[in-house]
Amino acid sequence: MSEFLTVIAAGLAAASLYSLFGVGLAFVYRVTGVLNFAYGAIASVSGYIAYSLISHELSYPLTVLIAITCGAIVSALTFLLLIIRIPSRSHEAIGILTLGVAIVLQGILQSIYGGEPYTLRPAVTSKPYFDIGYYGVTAQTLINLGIAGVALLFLGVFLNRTKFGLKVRAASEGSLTASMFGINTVTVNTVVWGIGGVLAGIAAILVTPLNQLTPSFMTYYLLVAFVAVVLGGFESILGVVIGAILYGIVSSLMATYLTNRLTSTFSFLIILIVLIFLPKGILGRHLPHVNEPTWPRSTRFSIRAPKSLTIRAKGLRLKRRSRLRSSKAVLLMPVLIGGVTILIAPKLGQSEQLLVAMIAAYVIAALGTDIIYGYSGQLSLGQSGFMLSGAYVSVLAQSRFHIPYLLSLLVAALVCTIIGLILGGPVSRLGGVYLTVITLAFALAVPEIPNFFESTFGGSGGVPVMLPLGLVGTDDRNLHLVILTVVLAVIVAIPVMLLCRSRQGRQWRALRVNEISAAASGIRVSRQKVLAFAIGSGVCGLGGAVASSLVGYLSPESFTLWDSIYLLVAIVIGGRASALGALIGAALVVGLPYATSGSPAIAGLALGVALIFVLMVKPQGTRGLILQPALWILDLLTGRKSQRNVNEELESEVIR
Amino acid sequence: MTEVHVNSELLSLRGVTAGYGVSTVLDEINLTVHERQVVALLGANGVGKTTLLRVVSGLLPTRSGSIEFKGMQVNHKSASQMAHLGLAQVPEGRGIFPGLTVAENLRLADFSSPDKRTSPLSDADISETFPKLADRMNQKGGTLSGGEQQMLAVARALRMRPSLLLLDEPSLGMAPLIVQGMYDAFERVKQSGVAMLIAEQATNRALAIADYVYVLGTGGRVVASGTPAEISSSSVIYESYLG
Repeated sequence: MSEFLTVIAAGLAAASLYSLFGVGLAFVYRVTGVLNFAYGAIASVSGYIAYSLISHELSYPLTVLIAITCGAIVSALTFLLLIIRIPSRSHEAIGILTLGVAIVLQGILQSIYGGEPYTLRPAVTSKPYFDIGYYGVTAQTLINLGIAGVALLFLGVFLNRTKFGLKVRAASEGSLTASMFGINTVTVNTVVWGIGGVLAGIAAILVTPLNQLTPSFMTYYLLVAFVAVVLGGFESILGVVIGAILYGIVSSLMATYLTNRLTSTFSFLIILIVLIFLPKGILGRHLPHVNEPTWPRSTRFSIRAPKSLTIRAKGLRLKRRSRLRSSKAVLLMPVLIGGVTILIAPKLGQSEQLLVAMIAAYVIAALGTDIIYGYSGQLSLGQSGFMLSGAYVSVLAQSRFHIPYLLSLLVAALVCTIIGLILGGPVSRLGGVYLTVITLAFALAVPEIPNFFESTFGGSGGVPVMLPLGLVGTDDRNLHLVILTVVLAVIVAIPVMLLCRSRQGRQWRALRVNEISAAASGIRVSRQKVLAFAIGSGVCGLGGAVASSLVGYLSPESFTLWDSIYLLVAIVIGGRASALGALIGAALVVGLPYATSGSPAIAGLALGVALIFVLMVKPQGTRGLILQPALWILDLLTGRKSQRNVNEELESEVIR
Repeated sequence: MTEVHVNSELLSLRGVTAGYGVSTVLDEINLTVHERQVVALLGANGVGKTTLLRVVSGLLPTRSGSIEFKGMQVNHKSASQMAHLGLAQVPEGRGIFPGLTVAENLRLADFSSPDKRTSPLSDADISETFPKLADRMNQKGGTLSGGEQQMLAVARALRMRPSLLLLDEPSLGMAPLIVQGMYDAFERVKQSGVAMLIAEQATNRALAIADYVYVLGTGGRVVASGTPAEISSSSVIYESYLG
């Protein structure tokens, strides 16, 4: 019995952290409509600053005050400098922007503090207050509960009893209408982001004595915060607190009496079940909104009408693109690029050859990501989960069932497509944010499966992967791998390009540009979204299987959430809805860490900055830089003058 | 040119052009509202009445032309700055915050008092003019009926003690009896000296209360203007509505 009580107490202590974190996330989402994926990174900033100050012998209260203030400032600046200035108002673009902030913050922390874990001194270092068996209730537990309670109480009083709180509530129900009453909504939202940063900072400082401080240690807390937020229904703060308490107690019980090695899987299942059966959360409440008119905001990118968009009576036709892209000749491009790569490959050094092969493998995964994000406009973070699944399926198919390598790749793609259908089916009808949350949980859950079922998957030690040799006529091992992966990438690229150029691909692009018009034109939005998600996930799985066979070794850590994030970075930087963009992006995200070998922090920082720059300044991606000269060459060769300007054309696709 | 007695201009639009994306909705609009004057803005669906009110209230930027309010150039003022300058509005769709109580909705008006010396309308004043609202002070705004929400929107705008009140289609979707009561209230507002700019499709009501009338036609131009008597005696309204 006493052990049971201890477990409950531990659950409550965890719940107090989850609720602080979840409430901060939900509060910012509720008022400003942005699900902040940089939330964990902002919390980490506070944690590291606290660590630095304490090791400089600063007093504990002052340390906490400074660290929390810094979190608030970083959070507020994220909103003020980036979120309100991004030209595309679509929530996927804003979601990726916050991911970019997370990458940059983590890169900064990593370059200052390195990757080694630190431990923060707890506020009180006394013995357990109550020794009720097992763990005992430590002073830290009670402090966590107290501080979380006080912080949430303050938030409640602030919102319901103060003048500024009334402004916040008005702005969250309708910012346009609120502004008509003299409420400066930019100020209100900046303060709200600041408060979000405060809550993140408090959570980070309370959690660091329990967990070691690493640049990405907050990722796990982001996941549990999402569980609390999903349980609470995204917008109800009370619901989030209740959700956090429920989750804290249940997960504590499960960790003690069942296993503590499946916590992310458990979170994933809870999110999935809640989204299927209670999409509005346990309280079933949604924040009411003022019925406000909307009209196209004239940003730099929406002044021009989308020339390439003509809606016909039957089906939505998006076409009339430049000759370069509409001609079938463009399908020769991958063959050409692949051929040149293979011709150059023998002249490269050993490690460069492996790099080229790895880029080719990631091009496949990037193509899959492009189908999901670039074409159909869904923000998924599950790619790494699918890559890992695909890799394990391929390896098991080869070792257990003696299926030849190439066939095992097909099996991997097929299995991942089916998982994608099962996962995307129930979630896609709920809309964008939900898919992002569930796929984030999926990406964190998948690595736990091979860890848990050691006998089948080899556990955390990993399994050896047979190098696929003897398929191409060369004895040079690395050259063989280059040729094989490049050929595979070309073989995947051509059908993907054909698919995306077909009626199918036009439907995806149509629903990305405007879901309502697409539905009105007869496109089954939910079905098309699930289809894009499943096919894209299958292609990602294939990419994962190919990538793992280059290394000769596969472990649950082979693909992490960061692979998902960097694949999205690749698509945004290269340019969405384009195979060329996928190639440029994959070359960047694989090549940059290689080029800056020894300092992954610098590569991450550079990619994060590039991502933010592209989103803020050049939302059409960088592929125009290559496409425009290609168009000029084509004009020169054919002797005709192209009327089109590629950048202008690409811009017209950015409009939402 | 009109029979307006007070000549000081409160709001004047000169050559204002505005629109959304590629489309131009307002084309070279000239319009003036004098102090204590009630101006009606008439026209069929989609001619740009709401757009004109959005431009005036600082929600939509102008492409060209100038807007002056109280003798100040206000082209680049935001909606919240305009509220602080003394502009209040009953926006399209009424703009009631459904999750805030009636009392809280009314308190929103206190955030912008252009003249700090004049206190906002007291709750007693409100309940005198709108007795139904007084009974529902602690009810959520979303639970009110359409007519009650409209009353609340008007009360809230008046509580701002504005110099100019913008009303967008106040009679839209209202039962005739409620419209009658509302225009009675507007009449009292007019007597208290608040200038109003009313965009309305219920032509007769608007003509009855207005001192001056502008008719917007297709293409976003002012096709006619004059006193209510001049406008109702001509066929310009019928023509503008029928294209």
